[in-house]
Amino acid sequence: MSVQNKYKLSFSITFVVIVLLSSFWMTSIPSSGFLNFEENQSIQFEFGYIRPSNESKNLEEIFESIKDVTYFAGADRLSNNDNGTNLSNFYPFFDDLSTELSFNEKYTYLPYDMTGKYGRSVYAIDYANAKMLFLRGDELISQNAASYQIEWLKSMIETSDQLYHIIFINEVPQSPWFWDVMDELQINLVITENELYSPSSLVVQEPSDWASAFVDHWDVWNFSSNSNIQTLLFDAVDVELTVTALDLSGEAFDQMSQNLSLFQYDEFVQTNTMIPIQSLWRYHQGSDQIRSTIPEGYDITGENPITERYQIPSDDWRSQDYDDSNWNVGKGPFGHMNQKIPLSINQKLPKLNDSVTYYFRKTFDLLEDPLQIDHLFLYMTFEDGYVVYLNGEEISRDGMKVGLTTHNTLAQPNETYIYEEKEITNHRDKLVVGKNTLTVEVHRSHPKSSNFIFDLSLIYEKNK
Amino acid sequence: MKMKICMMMLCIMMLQGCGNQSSQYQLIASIQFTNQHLMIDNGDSFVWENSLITINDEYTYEMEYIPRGKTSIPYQMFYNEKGEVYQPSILKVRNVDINVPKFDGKNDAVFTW
Repeated sequence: MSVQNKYKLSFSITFVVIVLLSSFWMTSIPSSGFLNFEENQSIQFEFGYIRPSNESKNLEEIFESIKDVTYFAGADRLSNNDNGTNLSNFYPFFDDLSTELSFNEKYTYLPYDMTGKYGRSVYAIDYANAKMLFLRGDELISQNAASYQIEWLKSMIETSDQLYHIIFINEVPQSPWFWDVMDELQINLVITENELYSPSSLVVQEPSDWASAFVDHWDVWNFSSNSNIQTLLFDAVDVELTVTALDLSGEAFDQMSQNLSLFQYDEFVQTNTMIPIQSLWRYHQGSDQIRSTIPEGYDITGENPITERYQIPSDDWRSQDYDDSNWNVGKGPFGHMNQKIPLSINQKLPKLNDSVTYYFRKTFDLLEDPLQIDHLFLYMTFEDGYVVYLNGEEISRDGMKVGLTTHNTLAQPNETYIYEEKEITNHRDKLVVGKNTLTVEVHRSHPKSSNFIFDLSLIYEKNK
Repeated sequence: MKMKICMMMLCIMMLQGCGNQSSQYQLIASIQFTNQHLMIDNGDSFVWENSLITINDEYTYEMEYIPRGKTSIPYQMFYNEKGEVYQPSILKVRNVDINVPKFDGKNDAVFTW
């Protein structure tokens, strides 16, 4: 028997092993990160709103051009010239150009008579964590808060488990009662043919044509004068909703975003903003020249947090009396991002070679007695880590180890947090009537990291 | 017999080489580099105070505090006795020494990379 035949099996096994091992050589084996078996818990949805315009394509062309989106909403008349198009993923609102009867006959896939009065022309659908409600403005304008549609709307919202409540309506009533109902039901978007209304408090990014609406604490994006806007793309992940305006060629050219964790108006609670988002701040890069003291009794290891109140000297950068007149002034959010986020940075900050930290200072006035405050909140936008001080005393930190920090201290690697709520009510006694100072140190997790961002708002609630 | 004694002596010498150079406390630390920074991870349960960091037995930088966790120090902070700054574009880091004097009030603590 030849050697070749004698070791045939051995040669074959060796060959297979070599082939298998060579696949490792050709594969990029992950060298960092970790394996996570947890399922992604975030809830997402995406849908489009098609706007009627003179140059509009037919629906089939629009469905084809935005393939990532399954469901679209728009005015009934958009489908008038689309005899051959499958409309089952199109959700129309009644625009008074068809009769109710013809509307019912055209959209047989819509739920029938949810209200018991308006056939298919008033209805609601649930999609992921959103409830979309399609109303008839022509009926509402001449009515009042006790109207049939409003009663139905209230019942739908009260029994809803959805996070987002979005109303589509051809024409919006200007009467105050309608907007009182929108506030009461915590509707987060009202969309008409040419306008998008949002509660002001939810908006974290404004589009270019953004203005105050005709009712208090609502803003409006009026796109009637912008013929370029063909479609709005709604993209939500958990509490963050981004609305992107697409032009006729499907290119994005404007954007707004909401954060539903900022819902503020509870009828029993009065909410006051001491520092709004996108405020002006004094800022300075970290340096050995910026003095930071260690208060008496402070454990620099952080294992025994200081419980006594303490004072810091006026030449400490966190002090209320610190002279920051030579610091730069800029409007938040600050930083530089290498990845897409639903915020635009107003003040770009250069990457530093000498330090991994930026310091921020903001002075604000409080006219009320701090002890009357029921809840105190920070809404933090940051990457990677921060420490916040109120009148020189620490009130919040995230992404940083406990204890002493210097401007050379690196944060722990973190994702980008956008207006993350931090309840700091137990620090309300650090507020004083009159002038207060909030100071923040923001650290990156690596001297070469490409992402760095900071902004915040400081809000308090008082029971009425 | 002579052979056995020689072997025992050799073993003793080798085993001595495996131990600590002295009875000084060894800091718990790890070192990382970028082309412009030295990154030190203080894994001890205490903050290192008045630490002297030396690169290549020549370039030194004294830091008042190195807190727990990671600290980034630009190479431009390191100078030799002649007052020359450490130049990472020319020199390669061969060794890093950290000395924390009297970390417990009496003894020094050291780390060598």
